[in-house]
Amino acid sequence: MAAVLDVKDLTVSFALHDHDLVAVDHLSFSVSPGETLAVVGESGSGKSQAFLSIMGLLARNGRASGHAILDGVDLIGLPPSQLDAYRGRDIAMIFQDPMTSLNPYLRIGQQMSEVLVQHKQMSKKKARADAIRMLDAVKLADASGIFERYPHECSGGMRQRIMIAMALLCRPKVLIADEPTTALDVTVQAQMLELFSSLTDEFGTALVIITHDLGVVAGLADRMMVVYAGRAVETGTVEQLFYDPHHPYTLGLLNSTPHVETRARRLNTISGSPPNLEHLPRGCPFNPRCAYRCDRCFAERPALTPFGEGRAKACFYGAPLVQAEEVA
Amino acid sequence: MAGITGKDAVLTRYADKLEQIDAPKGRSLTQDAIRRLVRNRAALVSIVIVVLIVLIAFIGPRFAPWDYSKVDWTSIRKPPDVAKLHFFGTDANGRDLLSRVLQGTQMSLIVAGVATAVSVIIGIIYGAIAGYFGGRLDAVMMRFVDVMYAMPYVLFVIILVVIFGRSPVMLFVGIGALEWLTMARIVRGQTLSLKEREFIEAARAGGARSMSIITRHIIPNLTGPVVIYATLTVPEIIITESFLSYLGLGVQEPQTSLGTLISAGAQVAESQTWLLVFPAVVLVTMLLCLTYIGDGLRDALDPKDR
Amino acid sequence: MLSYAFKRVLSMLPVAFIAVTACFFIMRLAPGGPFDRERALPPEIKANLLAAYNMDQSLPVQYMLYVWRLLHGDLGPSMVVKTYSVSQLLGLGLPFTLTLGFSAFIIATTVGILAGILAAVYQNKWPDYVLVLFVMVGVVVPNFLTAHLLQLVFGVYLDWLPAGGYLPGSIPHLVMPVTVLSLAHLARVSRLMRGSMIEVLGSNYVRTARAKGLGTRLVLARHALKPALLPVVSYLGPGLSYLLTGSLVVEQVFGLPGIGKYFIQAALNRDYGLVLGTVVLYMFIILILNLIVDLVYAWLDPKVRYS
Repeated sequence: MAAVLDVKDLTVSFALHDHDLVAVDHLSFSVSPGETLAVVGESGSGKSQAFLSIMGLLARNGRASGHAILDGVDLIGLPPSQLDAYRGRDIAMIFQDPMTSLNPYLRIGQQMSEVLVQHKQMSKKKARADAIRMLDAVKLADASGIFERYPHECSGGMRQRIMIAMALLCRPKVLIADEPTTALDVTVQAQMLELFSSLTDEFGTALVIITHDLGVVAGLADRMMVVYAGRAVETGTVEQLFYDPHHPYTLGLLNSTPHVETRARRLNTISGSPPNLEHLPRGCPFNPRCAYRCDRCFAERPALTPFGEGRAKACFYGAPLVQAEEVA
Repeated sequence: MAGITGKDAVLTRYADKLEQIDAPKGRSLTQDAIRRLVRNRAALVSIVIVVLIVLIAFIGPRFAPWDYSKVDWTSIRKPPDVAKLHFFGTDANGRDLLSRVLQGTQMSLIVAGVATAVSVIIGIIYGAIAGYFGGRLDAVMMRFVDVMYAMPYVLFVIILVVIFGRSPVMLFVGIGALEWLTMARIVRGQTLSLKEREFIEAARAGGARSMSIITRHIIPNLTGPVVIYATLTVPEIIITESFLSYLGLGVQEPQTSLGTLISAGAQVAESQTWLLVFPAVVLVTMLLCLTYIGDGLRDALDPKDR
Repeated sequence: MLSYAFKRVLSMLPVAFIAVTACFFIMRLAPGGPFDRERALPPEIKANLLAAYNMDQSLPVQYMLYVWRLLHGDLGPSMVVKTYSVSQLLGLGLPFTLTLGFSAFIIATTVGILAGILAAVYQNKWPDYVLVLFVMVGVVVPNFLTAHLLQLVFGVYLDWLPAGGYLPGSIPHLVMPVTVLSLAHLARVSRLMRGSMIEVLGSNYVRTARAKGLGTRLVLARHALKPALLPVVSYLGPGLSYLLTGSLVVEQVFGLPGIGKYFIQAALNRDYGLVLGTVVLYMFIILILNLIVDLVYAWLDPKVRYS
């Protein structure tokens, strides 16, 4: 099936006062229609910046190069005026902090209708009806009441649902959700994931969910991509990576997720500290923290190489990291 | 009062930051800011220029060939004449303009310094009281500050001067007494937040220590804001004092200030342009540099503000 | 919103009360008060004062009468001018000063807001640099200096505009005064607007608006403008007092028939009847204008408006 979003060699750099900082380094991946891709990595791994660049939302000193092809159009390098035709309509993004992502000075209804008026040239009346229907679809009680309200009259969970509703109004082909549950209560999180699941089924939207929480990945995603220091280090289906990881970082992430059934005296962590993007080690950026490294890892940087069934890894270590019996 | 340096905004942001971290970290925040300030070229150049002006204003008169009130009967209303050592020319009474400009600058700086000190002291006391007692008293005191902010305080200063006469003391106290508002707000904010933090511990440990805890924590955290406040207030006071002197309500003869000189110079600017130009240039340069320093401080404390 | 407005009006009253009381006591108790000056007062003035202040009554009664008179617009007698009361004198100049002040205010605020928006949108490109430079000059150079400089350059050397004075209805006579008066306010407003707009443009909700593909114009006009205006609106209250103070100088330098001339003369003559009267009047004007500004702010901010 042809990918709905095809990203190749996406590179994002920021011009600091005396040098450039590379936040995303030749990232390549694709998303198929209707599938849910999880993008996993630590804070600062560049995962958000990659998608902000696709949406044309980089900071003033940011530059993006490479390709992000949505329906045959390369979004990278498009001037904002042209990009506007696609964002909000074919590709939409919701952000981590629902408390500040809605305009406090405008009514919710207005913020929703304007998307429909802008992209579908709907009349205000029809837009209102559509918006209220969507607010319903995200399981908000009193949809028409909310339409008239201001954001400060709604809770965080409600606001995030409103954001989701707003993003789906034009039935975009791709929805990017940047840590959508991080700022919410755990109970609300569970509901939110359910919501995502049912919505993507109902509207056939491809969902990219950026997160550092493997629980979210397990509950929602079909495929996942692990990002480290701005590069993709492993991709594959969720089952493949959870049960048979091939990159030491992926293994580390899995091991450091506390399991509710094991009584651990100490939590597992990945040794070492997150990489300093301004001073990356030679060779593989993970080598300071890797238990499986060899001499080659210090000399050469491994490229993302496909193997197995639709998987890829950027690692020189040949063998699987987890033996069949160790699967917990 | 929203001054030319927007010091209220700068100081409030800084104070907010300080409120959220402990005293030792507060000191490093200040050091960090100082480091950033030093990197700002415009601010650095301005600091140098200001220091130079201050030095020349206070030490210069010892080396100046003419005293500021001495009359040279041979040169009345004369343009700059290097041979006679009247580098800036002379005024209608035959007095050397350079000396008068030096004296005027001195006067403006002294007024600014003293008035700033007065406003700092009043501000600290007022703010500490409001923050310490909190509740109703605080609300009333702060409402007063809020309203004073919108008042045309120059008019009040004029009232004071009109009633109490034109003594230099009046000038210092009067101007300083009306500039303390921002300092009061900052100190009150700090006191309030400290009260919440430290008192709880102190209450648990046993009452008597609270006073010393406050003094031990307020003072170090205050030096930063005070220095910044002083730097930002000085240009405002210089302008106020110049304004008053210009109107004839400020410094009295034979003392002079930049405002008086400009006022006198403006009357005859058509024919004796130098009488207006020299004091004006000095005044504007000083204010410009002080403003750049103020801007530099603001950027140093809150680098995103560009 | 209505209760907010009501509360605001209510909070004005103590202020007005304090101001009036302070003025009263200053009048009566200041050293060198009206009745023991070095120079003996001319008998007409003394008679006026005695009558005006009911010196024969007790202090509290005097106070009541003073307030009563104020409420009726009688600001008391002048110390120096024999035949006119303060109110009459001010009445001569007030309309002009208010016209001058308001014109400058409206022009400076409008232009300042537009300039600030422009600078923010084109941040770090040439419109921004030009504005920052202009702001620096406008804020730093005192208004009495700009007044004289403009007067010299345009009124004397180039002779493009009349150097001073006023003929009723003559616009050229007003060009320089209004410009000088507007300068400082314009500089401050545009600097505020620029900073505020830059901050709003970097906010999360503007990012959301952009992500929705709304286009720069819509994002600016509908999402960014109102939030960015709020700090500017807050500033307008103090900004107005600055403007009124500035008008004193401008009227003096350009020889305009407003309150400024009387006020400065009065200050120099130590006529604090006139000085205090003027200040009381100014304060009332400013209090009322501040109230209006507060209400405008409350109306703009839905969190206040609908609470």
